[in-house]
Amino acid sequence: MDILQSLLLGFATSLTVPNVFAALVGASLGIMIGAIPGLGSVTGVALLLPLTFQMDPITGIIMLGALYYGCMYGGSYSAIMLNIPGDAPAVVTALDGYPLSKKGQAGKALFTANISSFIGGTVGIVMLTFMGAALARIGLMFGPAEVAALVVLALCSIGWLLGDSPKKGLISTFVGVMLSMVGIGLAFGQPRFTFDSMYLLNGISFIPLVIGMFGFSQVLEMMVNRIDAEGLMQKIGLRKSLLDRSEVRRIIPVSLRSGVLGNLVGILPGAGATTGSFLAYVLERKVGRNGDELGTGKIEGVAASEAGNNAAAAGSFAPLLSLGIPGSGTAAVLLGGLMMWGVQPGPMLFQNSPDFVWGLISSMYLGNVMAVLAALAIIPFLVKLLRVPPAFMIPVIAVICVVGAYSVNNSMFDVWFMLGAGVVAYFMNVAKYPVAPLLLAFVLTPRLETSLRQALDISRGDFSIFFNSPIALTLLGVTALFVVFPFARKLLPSQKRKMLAK
Amino acid sequence: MVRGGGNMNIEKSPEKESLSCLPGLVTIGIVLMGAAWAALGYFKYGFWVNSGPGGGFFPVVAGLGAAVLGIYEFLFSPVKVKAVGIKGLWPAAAMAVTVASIPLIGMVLAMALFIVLWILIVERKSWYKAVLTGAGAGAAIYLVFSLWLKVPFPQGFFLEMIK
Repeated sequence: MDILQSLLLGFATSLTVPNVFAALVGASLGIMIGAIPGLGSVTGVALLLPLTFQMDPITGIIMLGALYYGCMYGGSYSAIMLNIPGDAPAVVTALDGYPLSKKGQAGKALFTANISSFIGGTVGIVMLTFMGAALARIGLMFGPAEVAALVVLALCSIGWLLGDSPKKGLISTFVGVMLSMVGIGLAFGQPRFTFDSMYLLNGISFIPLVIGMFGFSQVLEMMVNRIDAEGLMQKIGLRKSLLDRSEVRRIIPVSLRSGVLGNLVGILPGAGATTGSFLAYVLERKVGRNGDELGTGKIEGVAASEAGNNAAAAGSFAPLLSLGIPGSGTAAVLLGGLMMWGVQPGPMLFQNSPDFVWGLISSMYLGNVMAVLAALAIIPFLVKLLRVPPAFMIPVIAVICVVGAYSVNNSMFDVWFMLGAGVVAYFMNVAKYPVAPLLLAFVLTPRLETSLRQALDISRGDFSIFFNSPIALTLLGVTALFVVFPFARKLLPSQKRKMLAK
Repeated sequence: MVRGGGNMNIEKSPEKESLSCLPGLVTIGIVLMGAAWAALGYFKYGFWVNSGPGGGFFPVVAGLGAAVLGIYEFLFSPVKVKAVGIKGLWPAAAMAVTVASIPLIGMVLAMALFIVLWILIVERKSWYKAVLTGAGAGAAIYLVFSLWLKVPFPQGFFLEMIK
C-alpha cells in the first residue's frame, strides 16, 4: 500500500505538462538515435546529459529515462528492416526480424517489436516498483562464480542457434571466442593478438564488427541475389502490417515470460540487455509452442528478444537506485548524471529523496508509454521506406554501414575493419557458416573469462567455489541438462522420443 | 554431393565468373587462424597461470576446437554449394576505393559521390535521380551526424587546404 501511495505521489510529480513533453521529446530522440547503427543508448544518454543540467532534475531524468527506452525500441528497426542491428541486443532480434522482412512481413515484425518492447518494459518497471530493493539484493548474491556459471549457461545455449550444421555453428562460436581475445584482457592486463597494432589494443569494437557481418555482408548478398532484394522491397500496405487478434494472443505470453526473465538478468551487474534478450530467446526456443521454428522468421522470436532487452533495461535500474551500482553502461552514465544533480543513489535514496526516486520510477511508466506511442506512429513511415527500389537502397545501406562504423569511435580503422568483416561474413555465408553464434560468443566470452579468473583468484585455484554456491551449482546443473538432453533424446528409441515431444 | 576435400570440388556453375573454391578457402582460413591462436595462446600467453586460467586458456581451447572441427569439416563433411557470383565483391571494391578517398575529399562528399556514381554506373539510372539521391543522403548525413550529433568526420585534404 505504501508503495502504491508513493507511486501515486510520483505520478503527481511526473505528470506535469513540461515533464510529459520532456518524455515525448526524449522518447522520439531515443528512437531516432537507437535506429542509427553505431549509436546506442550509451551514446544517446551521454549526448543529451549536458543539455539536461539546465533543467529541473526530475524533468532531466524523465527525459533521459524516456530516451533510454526510446533507444531500446529504435535498436530493433534497422535489425528488422536492413539486418543491421542498431545495438548488441538487437542481434537476437535480427534472427527472426529480418527473415520476416524477407517474407514481406516487416510491418508485422515492427509492430511485434514495439508491442513486446512495451509489455517487457512494463513487466520490468512493475517488478522494479514493487521489488526493487529485493531484486538489487538478489543481484548482489551474484559474485564472479555465479556470473561465470550464468555465462557458461548462455554460451552453451548458443547450441540452439547452430542451425542446420551444428559443426559449422560450433566452428563459428569458436571464431567468435578467438576474436574476443584480441586486445588487452581485463583479467590479465596484457595485450593479446594485437600484432603490434595500437588500433587493436582496446580489442575489436563490437558495433563495426556487427555492422560489417550483418549489414555490409547483406549489401554484397543483395548484389548477387537481386531477386531476393526485390522481394524485400515489395510494396507493403499498412493494413497488412497490422497484427491480427491471434497474432497478438501469440506474442503476449511470450512477452510476459521474456519480460520476467529479462528483468531478472538485467539486475545482475555486468550481465546486460544482450544476455537478457539472448536468454529470453533461448527460453522461448525451449518452451514456446513454435520454439523449433524460431530463426525462420517467427514473431515469437522478435517478441522474446525485444521484451527481454527492454525488461533488462528496467532491471538495470534496481541496483542503480537501491545500491548505487550501475547494472549496464547506460546506467553508469545515468549514475554520473544523478550525482551531478546532487542525488546520491544508494540504500538511503528512498528515504532522503522520495519525491525524486518515485518521480523517476513513475516517469519510466510515462517514458514507456511515450516510446510505444512514438514508435507506433512512425511505423507507416518505416514501412514506406522499404518500398525504395534496390537500385537506390543498396548504395544507401552501404553508406549507412560506413558512417555508422565510423561514428562509434570516430576511427577510420573501424571503417576498414567493418569492410573486411563484411567480406569475411559474405564468404562465411557462402560456405554456410552461421554468423549469429560468432557474434554472441564474441559478446559473452570476455565476461566469462573475467569472472572465471576472479572466481579462481578468490578461491586460490579451488574449483569447489562453483559447487559450494547453490546459485552457481543450479546454473551449472541446468547447463549440464541443456548439453546432455539433446544427446539423450537421440539415444532414446523413436517411439519414446515422439511421446517426449508430445 | 562429394566427399574428401570436397569443399574444393563443387558443382559446376553455369556462371562463368565465379569463386567456386571459396567455401574450402574459408574453412582453411579458419583452421589456420585456430592453429595460430592455439599456438600463440599456449606458448606466449600461458594456458594455466597462478592456479587459474592464463591469458592463453580461451585462445587454446577455442583455437584447437576451430582447427580440429575445421579439418574434419574440410576432409569428411559432404558439401553441396552453388558457385559464388564474383559480382558480390563489386560493392566491397567500390566502397574500398571510396573509403580510401576520404582523407582527400572528406567523409560526406565521398559518401555522396559513392551513391551518385553507383546509381549512374552500376544501376544505370538517370543522372538527375542519382544526383538527387546522393545530395539528399549527403545532406542527411551532414545534418544528423555532423551538425546534430557532432561526429567529427574527416573533412578531407582539399577542404582543409581551402580553409
